[in-house]
Amino acid sequence: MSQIKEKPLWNPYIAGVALGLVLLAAFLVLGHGIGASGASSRLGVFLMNGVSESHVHASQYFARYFAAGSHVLNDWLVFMVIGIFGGGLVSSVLGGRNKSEIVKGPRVGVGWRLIAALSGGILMGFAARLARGCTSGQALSGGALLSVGSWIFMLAVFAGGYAVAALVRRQWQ
Amino acid sequence: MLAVEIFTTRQNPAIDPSLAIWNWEIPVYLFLGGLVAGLLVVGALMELYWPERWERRLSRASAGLGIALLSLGMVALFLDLANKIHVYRFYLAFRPTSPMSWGAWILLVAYPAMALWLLASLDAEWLDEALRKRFPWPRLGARFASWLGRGQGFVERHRRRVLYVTASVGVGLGIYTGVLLQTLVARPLWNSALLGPLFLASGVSAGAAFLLLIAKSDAAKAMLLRWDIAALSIELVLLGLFLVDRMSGAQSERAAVSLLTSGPYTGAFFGLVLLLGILVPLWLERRELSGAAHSRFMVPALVLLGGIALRTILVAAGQTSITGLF
Amino acid sequence: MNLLPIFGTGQFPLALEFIPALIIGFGFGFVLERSGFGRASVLVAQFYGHDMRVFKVMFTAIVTAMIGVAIASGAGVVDLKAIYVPETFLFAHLVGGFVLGVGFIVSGYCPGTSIVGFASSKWDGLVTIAGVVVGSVLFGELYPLVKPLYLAQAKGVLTFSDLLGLRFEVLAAAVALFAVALFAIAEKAEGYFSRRRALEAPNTMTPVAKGALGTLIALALASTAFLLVPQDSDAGRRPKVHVTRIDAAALAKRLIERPRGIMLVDLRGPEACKAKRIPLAYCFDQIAAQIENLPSNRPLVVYGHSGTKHLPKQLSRFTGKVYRLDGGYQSWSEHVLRKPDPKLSPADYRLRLAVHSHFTGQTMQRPAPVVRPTVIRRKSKKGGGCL
Repeated sequence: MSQIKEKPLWNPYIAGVALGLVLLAAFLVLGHGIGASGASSRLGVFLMNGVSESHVHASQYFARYFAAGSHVLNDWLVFMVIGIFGGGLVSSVLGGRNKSEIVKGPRVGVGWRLIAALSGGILMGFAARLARGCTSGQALSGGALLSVGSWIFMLAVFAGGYAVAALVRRQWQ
Repeated sequence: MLAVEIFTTRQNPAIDPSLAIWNWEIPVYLFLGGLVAGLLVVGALMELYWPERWERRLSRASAGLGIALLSLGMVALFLDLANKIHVYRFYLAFRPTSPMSWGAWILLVAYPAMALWLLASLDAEWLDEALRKRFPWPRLGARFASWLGRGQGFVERHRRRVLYVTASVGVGLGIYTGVLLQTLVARPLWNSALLGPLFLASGVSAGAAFLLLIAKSDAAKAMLLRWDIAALSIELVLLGLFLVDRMSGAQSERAAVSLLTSGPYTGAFFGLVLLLGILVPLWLERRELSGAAHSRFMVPALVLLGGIALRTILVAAGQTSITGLF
Repeated sequence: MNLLPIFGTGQFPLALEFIPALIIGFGFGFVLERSGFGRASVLVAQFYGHDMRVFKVMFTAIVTAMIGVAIASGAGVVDLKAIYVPETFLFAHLVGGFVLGVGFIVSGYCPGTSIVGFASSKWDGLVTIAGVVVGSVLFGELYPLVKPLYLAQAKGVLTFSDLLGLRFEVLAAAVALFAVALFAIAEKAEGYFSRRRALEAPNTMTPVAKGALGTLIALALASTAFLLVPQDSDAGRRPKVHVTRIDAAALAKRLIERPRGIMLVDLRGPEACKAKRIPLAYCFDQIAAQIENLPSNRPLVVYGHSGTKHLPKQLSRFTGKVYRLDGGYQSWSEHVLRKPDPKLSPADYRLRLAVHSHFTGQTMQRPAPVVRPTVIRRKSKKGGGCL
């Protein structure tokens, strides 16, 4: 089938305004911001629960996911992520950017890239639980409501990124 | 009204107070059964009516994967059975009014049909050579080769008949996975005649999507996309009818469907089944047919995910929908 | 009366929130992808200085949402206090943020954008998602070790408005002006780093972008006009508590659905309250001094012995919604703690039995065994599940 050309990205400021309006809609309709990492956490707890139910229920941290009495995955965070996936998919297809690939610089192999993606993901999963949210839930949502913790979090994210950017430069350039 | 229901339609929790609780095994079995049904229907009908836009290897894959996946589903089902050694009893009698009996017999016919179809779609020369030269015991290999060669000759003569049987078995298998749930009257969510056709449509869409992963030629891909669009569209309509049917039903049925429309399964139903499982793939397929490109894994992955989600949600919600509690 | 937010106040069943969450998520994913955030190389460019897309999009989004909230709350459309603000834990946010930043540059995504990456068929995005799942589980496993850090320096809900004593509208305008200044710097920095690497600078400050940012500033300044309108939701100034009624059945249902979604206060006096009370209820004397600190986005349900006519004065310091349990504790014990009468209609009986067993822990009585003809019995034994 024929290839369609990749369309240019939106201007970042315009995209930012659009993103802000989505966030505003979340505040006004849902009464809370946007969350992305919570769903992954819930998925993890769900899988763990399949392995050993008693272990998960005995855990100090995981037990909170069962407090409400409903299914672990039955939460707005999970459905928001399903929406995020759908939105990303539709947009990438419309923009001609939906191509099966592994994004990396020319100087690293696929294996290294995937190991880096996995370890970075693990760090982020851990950090997002520690900080009670990720860039979506804390930095964006809390930041827009002027939460002090969220702003500290956001500055720390940028600090962490800049601190090790030089070390992993090979992966990207 | 309520009193009438209790006595006439068995919709009373006191009648089936505790049906066995189904976990992952039953949805997996229903999904794999539907998927195999789809492979058989799509593969056999394509070979019958549009052979010029078909690939022999797709028939081979349908038959071979059909056997493998159906067996996998049977393993899942077997794990769920309480009295495992009593399975043989299904084959001691045929009860025309029992869908379980129908199912057991459909499964029994499905295997030979798939095996014959597989034999018909294997390359005769390749098969002959493989058995004679690469088989560890040459004499046995030669004997097998001559048997299978004769078998192939037989299948070749009755090719169309084999394909008709295969397609019919596919339709039967697909419908039966839904009818199976329908007959449990004490679960008001399932007690709808639309469930059989719905599961068949969903199975056909999954089968076409699965073959889309394997297809190489543009003609076959385009046909599979059309199959999938048709199946998903029908599934969408049937799903809508199913909801309307439940909503306009008895009080217990309205309560049962509210599990999907405004209850604990709402998010999963709209998000996974409707949005990601049907609407998005439909849109992607229409675009792909008109020449737009995107990752080729996306459509099959979404359709298969939607198929699993549909069955998991219906099975889980159905078991929650006990008359009287809601 | 504020119209918004529609959800989050406990008025609606949780399940109804899922559809808007799905739709908003869809919009979020769509815009993230349009911003280019479905691709790791675009995201990490932020940290090499030549394309600060991430910073620009994020900050513009924050400013836009902030101004929107300022206007909506200033105009009285939305109840600012009913919007959930994450609590502040200084160390957890500091350390968590730093580690997340490291994970960001290593994986190339953040948790949200990895989903968008996967949605645009980037397999490294999928692997990152798997990592996030593993990392979350790891945190749960190591929780006893990290608990001190997780809970240290808890400040509760703390915003810059609280910290500086300024109204939200003022701060929103200040942040908007500050952001625009930072954007100008970012554009300069991009030019510098791009020249150093002989790349083409993105030059994103187009006339349209300028117009959008100008509009934002104008709206931010305009929203400060609401300063002239006195804030009616100020604690203490509210003259009277508006109390809505709730009956025992509805309360039980809510407690089952979202046990932490409401706060219960027992007004019967210390002895009675200590002896027995509705699960999760506070005794009034214990929290009387802290009423104003209770989160206002969750409804407060009060109850006395039977009907309560006079509510204590301190309750007027609570800014959220107040409900009064009809019939008080007496009604609760009649409806929930006592075994339901089997003469009720089957549906009622079943529901009451479920509620009763939920709160008393007594197992539900099974319906009387049904005698069935032997033929059917044998058939049902054959396949414990189905075929």
